[in-house]
Amino acid sequence: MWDKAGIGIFIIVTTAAITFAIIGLSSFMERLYKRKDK
Amino acid sequence: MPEKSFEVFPRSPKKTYGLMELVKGTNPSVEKEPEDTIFTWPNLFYIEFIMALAITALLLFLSLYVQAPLEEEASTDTTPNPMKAPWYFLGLQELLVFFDPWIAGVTLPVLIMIGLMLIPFLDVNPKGKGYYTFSERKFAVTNYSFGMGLWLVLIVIGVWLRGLDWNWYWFWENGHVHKPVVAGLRDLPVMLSKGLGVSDSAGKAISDLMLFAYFVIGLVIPAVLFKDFFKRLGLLRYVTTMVMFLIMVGIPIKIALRLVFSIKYAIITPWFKI
Repeated sequence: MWDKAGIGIFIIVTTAAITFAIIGLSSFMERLYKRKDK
Repeated sequence: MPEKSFEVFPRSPKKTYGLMELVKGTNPSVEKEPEDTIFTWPNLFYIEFIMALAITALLLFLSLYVQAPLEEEASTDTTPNPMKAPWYFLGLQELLVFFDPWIAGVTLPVLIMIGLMLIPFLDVNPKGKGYYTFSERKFAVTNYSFGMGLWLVLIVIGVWLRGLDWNWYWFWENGHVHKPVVAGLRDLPVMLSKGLGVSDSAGKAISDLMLFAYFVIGLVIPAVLFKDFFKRLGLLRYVTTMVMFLIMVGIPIKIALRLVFSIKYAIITPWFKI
């Protein structure tokens, strides 16, 4: 049972990690290249 | 003053011409000093050219000093176990565990490609052209990142977590020891009919209704909660976007149903099973 739950948790955690990593990168790039006219 | 006509786009006497739209905004070069701007050639092209040379050199040295992971010569009497595709196809191969071959191998990749091709037609947000932004394109960036993340996770599972007989092996488990065959995958309609004590066809009807409800709720609730989003997109764009989105979210749901709840098929029809 725990093995199965572990697989589920692993998929959720890694998908969320990659998603937030890309979002974080995108947010970081936005701050880095903040437009002057904003 | 006589009217000028251009060869490339001559004025047709059969058509009427009018001003279609006035857009509020400024030209990108407004409020920019000439000192702020530089020419693409040579400023950008030089950097790009130097980078292209550097990457080529890097790949050349990598290919010289890092050996390709080639295996033994193929033999007709031994089939490798597990039989793994190249890493970039392993996401697709991993999908085959959870879906029927033609759904995993044909329908889903085609839907992914159609979805990517539809993005320019569905995305009505004009923000984010020529500069980086997340705050102005939250849904678009999150949605894309999630799809990308899901695809990468499937590749990670295929490359590092699948072992003998395509069983799940954690990083710390010995990949050379066979795992016992675990039977007991069941179909959702059968589980429902047994669990609720109803007939087989009623169980099937309930599972069909659940899928139907998933799409109806998934279409209606965001439209009610995010009225601006719905209005901005319009009905056709909204429905297309959300159906694509719901199919994408449905993939990890189906994966979870099988891995966590041991459900093989959630929907059974004479033509296909999901």
